[in-house]
Amino acid sequence: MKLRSLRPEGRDLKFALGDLESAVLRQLWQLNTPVTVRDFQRMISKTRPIAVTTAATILDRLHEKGLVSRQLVRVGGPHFLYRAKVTEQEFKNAVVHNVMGTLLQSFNDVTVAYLAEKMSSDNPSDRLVLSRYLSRLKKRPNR
Amino acid sequence: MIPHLPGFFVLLSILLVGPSMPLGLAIDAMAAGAAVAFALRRSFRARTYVLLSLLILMFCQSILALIISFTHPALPPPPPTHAVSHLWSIFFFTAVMAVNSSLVAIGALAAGCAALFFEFGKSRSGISKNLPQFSFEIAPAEVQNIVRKLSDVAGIAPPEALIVDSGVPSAFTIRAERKYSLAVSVGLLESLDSTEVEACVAHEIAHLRNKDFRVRTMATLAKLALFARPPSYFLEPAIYRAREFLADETAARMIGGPNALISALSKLNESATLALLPTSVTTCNLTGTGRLREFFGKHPSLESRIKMLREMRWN
Repeated sequence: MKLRSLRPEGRDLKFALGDLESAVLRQLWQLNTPVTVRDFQRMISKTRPIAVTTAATILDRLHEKGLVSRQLVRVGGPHFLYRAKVTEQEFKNAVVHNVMGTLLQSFNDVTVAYLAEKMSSDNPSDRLVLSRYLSRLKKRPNR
Repeated sequence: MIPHLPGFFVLLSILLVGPSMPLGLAIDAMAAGAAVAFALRRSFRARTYVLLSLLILMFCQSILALIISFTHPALPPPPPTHAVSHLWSIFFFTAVMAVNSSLVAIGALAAGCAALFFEFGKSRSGISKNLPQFSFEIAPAEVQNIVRKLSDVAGIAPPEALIVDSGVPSAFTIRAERKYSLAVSVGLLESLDSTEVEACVAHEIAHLRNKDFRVRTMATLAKLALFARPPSYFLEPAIYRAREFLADETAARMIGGPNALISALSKLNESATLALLPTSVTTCNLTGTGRLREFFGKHPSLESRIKMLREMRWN
């Protein structure tokens, strides 16, 4: 999975993907079977009218980014069958790992202090999660 | 066809003035004007011929200047104006001459190297070496048939028909291993109707029929040789754009009307701003983008191509 150009102003999937890319990926997650571009365009057009060429281009771009897998079918005219390669959870994990990993690597002390502060002040129930997590860490042998 | 007046005068002045360098700069300014004028007009075949001969004449003029600067290092200076002393004008004239002719020499050398590189390097190596990011395979029978049929219509030897493993709708022709191959992306086949695919193939075949690889190579080498002469940067892309319009026109005639091509280009227009197949110097692509493309782009905008096809006189 290649995550490039994260957008701090974007919410949800749009934090890591473009507007159309997010819509396409969300639609793909709702499907269980591989789809052709034409079928996919018909489905997504109910909520978001886009051209077949646009759907093909966006799916290709998601494939480039490693979020979607495809299979070339030669029977009945060459076409691709697309399916999501990562689940929603995997995608979110990857984004958080990417961002937090970079922050911890670059500004370790500030990031840790901020997290502890933010979590305990914003949402009191998070404090419980945090302390549980810390005690679990303490039990782990020091490397 | 009515002769295009600015172009005619530029041609005439280049022929008359020949190798005089300070006047050459004035010619450059006029040639740039002509390039802009041509960019706004349409008669594509004539346009490319005039633009290309402009480039070549500019080149010949520079070469003449180069030869003269070697054989007559001290040419009679231009008559001194009231502000410039006689001595200063001699110095200035010789300096301009020397700098300009050495730049021409460097440019010609670079163009020669590029010509050798393409002839003996790029076009001899395989497609996968020219475009390593893609994988190619032989096209299915339907596409083969379209290519063969349209090549017959155009009266050229059919190129090798290939499928590119990409979802981006596009098509291109490439010269590799000393032969031409026409590649259609899977994305094009799955998102356009068969008549629209045929229209896109016709556009590429039209490039081959019009010998656009040769025209483009000549334009690019001339630009490279004239890298020190600003108008070449307008003239070269103007030639490319004119050839695209011409290919559309030829394609429309080949498939019996512009409608299929108009509908294909309109569909591609929806997605063309999102992504394009990566291009290479050895390919002729279906579409292109870029800022300031009416002046520097090598592809006209799809809107202007559709407009041209709609206005095309069709009988």
